[in-house]
Amino acid sequence: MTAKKKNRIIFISLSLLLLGCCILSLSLGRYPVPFDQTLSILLHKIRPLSAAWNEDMANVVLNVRLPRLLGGVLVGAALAASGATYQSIFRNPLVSPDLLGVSAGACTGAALAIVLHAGTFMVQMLALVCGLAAVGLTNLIPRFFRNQSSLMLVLAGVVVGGFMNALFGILKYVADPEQELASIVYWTMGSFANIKQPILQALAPGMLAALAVLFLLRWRINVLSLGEREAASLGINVGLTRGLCILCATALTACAVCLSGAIGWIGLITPHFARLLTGEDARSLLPASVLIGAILTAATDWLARNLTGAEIPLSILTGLVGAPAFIILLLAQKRKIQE
Amino acid sequence: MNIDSINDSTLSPALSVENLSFAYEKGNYLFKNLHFQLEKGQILQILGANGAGKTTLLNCLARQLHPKSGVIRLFGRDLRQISRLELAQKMAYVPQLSASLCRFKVIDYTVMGRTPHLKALASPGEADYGLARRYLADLRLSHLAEKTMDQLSGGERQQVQIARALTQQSPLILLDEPANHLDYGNQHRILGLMTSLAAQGYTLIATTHMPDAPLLTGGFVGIFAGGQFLFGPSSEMLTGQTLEKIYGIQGKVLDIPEIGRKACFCLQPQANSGENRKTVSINNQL
Repeated sequence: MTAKKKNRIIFISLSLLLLGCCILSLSLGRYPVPFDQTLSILLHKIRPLSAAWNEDMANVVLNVRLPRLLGGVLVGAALAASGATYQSIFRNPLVSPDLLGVSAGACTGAALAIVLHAGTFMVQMLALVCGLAAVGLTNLIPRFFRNQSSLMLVLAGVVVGGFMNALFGILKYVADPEQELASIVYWTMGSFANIKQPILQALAPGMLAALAVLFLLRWRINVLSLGEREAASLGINVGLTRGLCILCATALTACAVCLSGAIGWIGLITPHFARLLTGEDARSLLPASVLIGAILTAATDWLARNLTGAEIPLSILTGLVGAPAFIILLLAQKRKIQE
Repeated sequence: MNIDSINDSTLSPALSVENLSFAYEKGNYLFKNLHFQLEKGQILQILGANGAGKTTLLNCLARQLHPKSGVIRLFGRDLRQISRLELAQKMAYVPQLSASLCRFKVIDYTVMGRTPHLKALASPGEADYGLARRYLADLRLSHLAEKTMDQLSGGERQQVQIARALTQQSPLILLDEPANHLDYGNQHRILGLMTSLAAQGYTLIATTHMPDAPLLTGGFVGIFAGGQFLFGPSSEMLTGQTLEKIYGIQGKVLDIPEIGRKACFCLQPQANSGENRKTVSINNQL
């Protein structure tokens, strides 16, 4: 079984790469901690070791960098998994997780909270609620027309996204330009700086559960990617299965946006990277996307903190790196991209 | 593999259609009181001009569309009362060629036919892959197993789609214009494959734009012409008159001793017959 062997090599290398990125990210920053000490600090949590580090180091690694890293990794995994799912079930490689209006909704929610001077936690919560509400609205429109095709759903997503962007525009217009508008703009550019333990504890279990459900549905996602008609002829309950996939993928994106603001590109290009390695099959595409998404966000956050003295907003980096990377990806598979 | 081991059904016909009527808009019937019956191992080829109702009928049989009235029985049971999984275990569907431009590996695509036999949330296992490999081997496609679907030619892809339908192990197979978009040789290869599947006990229903197809495979023909549906053995039903009724061209069906069968001919292709031009050119090829 050469295919199985190849897959195993891919997954082991990706996991090692992710581990490397995590250690790097925990160690480097404005307050550098030597790699071996970072490792000891982490291992100490599991089995007590004789302390060869000072309190500050432990504090930086465990309380400042670890939640941020875990949150970042989770955001990357979530965006990538939901991108891969969307691209498969909508049979379109250009689709990204905000197809159904989740990002536009989340931005509107966050802006509303900022204008109302709510705290960080409320900004994140309102982003989550409005993101999910926007997708709920998108799902209602095809029901209203009694047309359950995925094209109708995509069109509804365009409508709701446009409407949410208009509301977002109103909020930006009425916001006080000195402070509120600035916070709104920063928020939409994405950052892991606001990922603190409470919000992570609140969202992580749900996100992991949604990832698990998508993983359980991996074979059904394959069959759905043949199109509604064929999936139905193979005995799949298309409405229910597709609905469940959309629900999980959307919840993942909404949670990700709520943790870190809107981060572009990760959800769109990660599945393409993964597809180059594993092919179309969701059984390996989905886990590969999760790992690559986690690696990309861990690396991006590390760059954002270390490239310059000030922190660079994430969307700027993902755009600067993501756009050229996408061109390279397209070159690599140009033979396959036709109609 | 012998189909009898899968199909435990009794003496009831594979498919019976009684008084089937369908309308997309209220009162505007596409067909009315359609009636026919197929036994196990028989082939039905459906002929008709564009928009006459061929695909609509196929979609009604596959429960993708709901008829206004009438009953469809699959192995004696009302189609409306069969569960989704059981329907997929009894009836496979081979889509039109254009619909299948995916990048799955041939073996993974073929094994998707096992989906209605899997437990909820399960993925296909070794036994399922074994079956898929066996049916690919049956159709002499084993050498393609590790290629991806988009690397295949149209003829190969159509055969892989049929291999998937066989892997589904459903005794009845619906084919939507199986010879469409194929070259002359592959068209006849697919028709030959259909004949041999029927001989193995599969019941096949196909739509086609090729009036010679029913003559080549034998079996029954269903004809949408002039608002009517005519059903009967293909060698009796197909005449010059029926060709004229279906396509609005002057046609003739001749018995040709050299090839030992009847064949359709178009006498005078009429450039101004609009809708039917496509059919004329197919006839000229033959």
